[in-house]
Amino acid sequence: MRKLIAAAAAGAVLSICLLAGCSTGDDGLIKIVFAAGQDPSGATAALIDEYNASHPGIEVTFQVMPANTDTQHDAYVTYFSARESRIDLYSLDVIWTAEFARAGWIRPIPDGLFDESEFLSGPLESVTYEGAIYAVPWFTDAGVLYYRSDLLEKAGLTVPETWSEFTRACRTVAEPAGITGFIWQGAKYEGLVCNFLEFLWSRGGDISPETLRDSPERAVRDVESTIDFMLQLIETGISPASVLTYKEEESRRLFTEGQALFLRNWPYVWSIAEDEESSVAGAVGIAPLPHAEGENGYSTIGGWNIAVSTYTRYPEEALEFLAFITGERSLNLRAIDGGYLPTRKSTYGDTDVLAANPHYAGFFDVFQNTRNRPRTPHYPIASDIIQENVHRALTGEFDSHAAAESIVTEMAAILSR
Amino acid sequence: MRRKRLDSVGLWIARGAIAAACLIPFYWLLNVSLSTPSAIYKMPADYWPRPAVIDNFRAVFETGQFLRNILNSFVVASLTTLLTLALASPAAYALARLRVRRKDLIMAVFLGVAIFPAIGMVGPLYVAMARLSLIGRYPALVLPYTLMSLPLAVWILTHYFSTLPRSLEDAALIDGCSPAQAFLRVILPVSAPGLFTSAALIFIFAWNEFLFALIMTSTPESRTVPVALALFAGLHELPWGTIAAATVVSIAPVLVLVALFQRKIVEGLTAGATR
Amino acid sequence: MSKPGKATGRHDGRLAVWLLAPSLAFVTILGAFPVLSQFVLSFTHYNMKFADERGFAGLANFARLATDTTFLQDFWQTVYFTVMSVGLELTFGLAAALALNRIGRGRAPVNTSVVLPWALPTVVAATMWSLILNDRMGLLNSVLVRLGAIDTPVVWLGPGLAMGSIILADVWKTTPFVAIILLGGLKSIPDQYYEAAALDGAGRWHLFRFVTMPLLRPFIAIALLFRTMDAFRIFDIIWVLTGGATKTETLSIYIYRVLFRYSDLGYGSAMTVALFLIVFLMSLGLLKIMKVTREPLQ
Repeated sequence: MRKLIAAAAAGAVLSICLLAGCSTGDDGLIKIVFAAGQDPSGATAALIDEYNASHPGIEVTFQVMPANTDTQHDAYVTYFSARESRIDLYSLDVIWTAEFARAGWIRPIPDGLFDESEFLSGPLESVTYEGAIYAVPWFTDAGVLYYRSDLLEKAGLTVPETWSEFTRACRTVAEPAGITGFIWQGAKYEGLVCNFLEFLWSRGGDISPETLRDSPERAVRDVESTIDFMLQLIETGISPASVLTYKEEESRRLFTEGQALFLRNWPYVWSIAEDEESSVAGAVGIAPLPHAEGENGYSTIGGWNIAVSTYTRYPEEALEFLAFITGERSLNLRAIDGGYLPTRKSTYGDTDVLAANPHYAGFFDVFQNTRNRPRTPHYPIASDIIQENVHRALTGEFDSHAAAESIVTEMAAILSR
Repeated sequence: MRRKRLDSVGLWIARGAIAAACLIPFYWLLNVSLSTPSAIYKMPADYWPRPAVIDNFRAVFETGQFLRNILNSFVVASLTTLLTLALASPAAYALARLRVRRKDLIMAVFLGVAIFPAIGMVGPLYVAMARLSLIGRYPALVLPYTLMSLPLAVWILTHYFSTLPRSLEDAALIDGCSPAQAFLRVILPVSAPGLFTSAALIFIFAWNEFLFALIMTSTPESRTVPVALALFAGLHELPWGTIAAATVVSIAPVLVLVALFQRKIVEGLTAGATR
Repeated sequence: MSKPGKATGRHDGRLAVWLLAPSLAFVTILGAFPVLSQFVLSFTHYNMKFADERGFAGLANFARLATDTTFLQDFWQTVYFTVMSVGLELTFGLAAALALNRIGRGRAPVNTSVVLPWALPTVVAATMWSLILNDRMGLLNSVLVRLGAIDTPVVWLGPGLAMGSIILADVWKTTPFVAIILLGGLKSIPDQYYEAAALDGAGRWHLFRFVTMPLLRPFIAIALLFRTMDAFRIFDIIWVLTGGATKTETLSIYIYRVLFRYSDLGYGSAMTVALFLIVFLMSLGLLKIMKVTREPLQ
């Protein structure tokens, strides 16, 4: 036993010293590190290999992070607050630009690195903060309505465009078929904010800083009636009460198992729904989200951008790589191999991209009407205000008027800070 | 006699119930890992995989990386366990057996460290590890994990040592041992159950820690199991079959080790019987 | 048991210093910086994102804490979670340890299976439970429907039931921790004690009450102490299952939001310090009740 302990202690100390001591040699290479979420398709890694092969003297490394937004946020905030210079480029969720720019963690992108007019307007808006551009749009996401084309066809219905057509379809098609009408993401998390804003916008409301400042009463009214509308969906049985516990995957599963007529979700569902494992393959369509009569439907923008760290030692090399990885060819390749929706308009007309993703034509329509979540350095607080109040109102803890009032007053306070 | 048999039957029923409670969710995990994606969510659920496929396991081993991640976890958890026990057992012996002033205060200091939330420590410790350029190396995990598991080890061992009869050391001292020798030659060997109890808890803690593992490592090769598991998930998509398969694979080494530890814990009992 | 002997000699003191020094030095060197920085930050306005708004805050953060209704509500929810889950874990853990203690043949499979839940990474365990508890496609409702116990699926993670489901998942996951500690404690009780007591004609209840329990008490105290501290910091399971919705938010989730999501180190540290003090005092109270601080059981 004594020998064991002594050996163990010696071994532990020795290995720590050894591991601590062996630093990497300096071979004159400029090492660029790009931190981003996992790309299971391998397209990003292949692009980086290609870049390294054509750029002697530069070695770009892909620091693969878990794809989950919160997980990446936790890690990046820790890195930035430690002024970490090891990582040069970060992929940022669209909701982080203002936050990281205000903190001084990411550099403004110099003019001329890319042509703004080539990008979709929604993602482009997401990289701007106080008039400057802080990142380059990388891939995008937007709320889409999935529907069961077979069931609608059988009932002789067209794809509903307004909420009243939509609820009618749920009653006449879903109820007799014994399936759920409409599934969305109502759990208390970031996805609820996206869903709520889409409901709000589709009914002509909004909570932009201007509206909150100039006509708060109208904002309260709109938010309240939106919450009431969501409550109604549940009370009338169009959506089950359990949507309030669903995130993306829970809701997606119900749909791809053939148990729902309509689903609000992100574009990723398409390839799963059309996979041979899916029970609804070949019977699914995509459409823009419904809206109230006389209003327009809007989709919440998701997706990721790439920014250059303030603490990088190689800003020029980092920018050069940034131009490559967000260039047209890179975006095409990631769209073809990985199904990542490109942020450049031209990609949606590319024949190779369309051959691999025929459904992109449908998504392009959706992307014409998109909106960003509030762009503020205080976004995490704003998001929690919406999550907290909407979810409590939907589960009956708050009444919808009180919830709407706290959302409007608290949001106004945050946005004017 | 009959009562004794009834007892043992009852005891085995209890043991069976305990094993079942622990195993059923795990059995389901195994079931999922062998199922096709569509079979996973079938309702009512299948109680065994039909058809059974090994695609998920194939996906786990597509690159050799996951094995590397398991190795990392194994090294980190082993080093943490050894370092913690090496630091904790002498301290615990002193606290249990020797005259130490402010014993309560020392015990309270250890307790205080254990209470401090990990999310409050990760930032400052990251700065410290980055200064020492340890990021992505084993010590960046081993040192914080040791800090976090030291209190539990000290507490368990202190109480374990103080349950041992004084006559053990007295005999050793009469035989001419120094107190240090008495500790190493007499106390430690008979304390195997306490040591292995602590070891099992520390090892599993270090094996499963996520937050530090995420922040202190950088390359795919330096990741440990919990982070590697998180890397299987997509932005929205959760390939649960693959994750279940990876979990089944990664848990095997832990179970082998725990089985070995269990034997040591029971062997300690026979050692105790001679005292 | 023999009286505390004086035989260990007068070099005790110096030996004790040598034995304690490495671990105390380790804790001080590595732990002092993170812990002290939290204490200092708790007296400042310090947001990582807003460098221009930093400054000394005095007790402002603590004053804000005293009137923060979320903090108060989360505190009571944390207490509820802790009392329920730790209570159940101790009960089940003790039962399991007793059932497994004198196990002969077949011990390895049974003992090892008991460790399984604890060995499962927390995030996987949490995701697994979210799938098992899913209302439409979860195993639990599937089994209950098949058994005829329910007609319509139960929304286990919905209002009213969510906290119970979380407690269930946590008890499943962490009871092994308690069982392992108590099993180790039971193994420390020499057989002679039982033999001696049995010779005196003690029944099984007496053996349990007057031999097992007193000797196991320090280990129960340790399990209780460390489980309470951990339960007060519960994070992953709740974050994955409900995100803190429907009255399931605990203090650590609130602290996580403030520290990591809002990057508000000043207020977040004040909450950390407050939580630290609460748990520390609670631990000392527990120790006093369990009477284990001084020379246990000599």
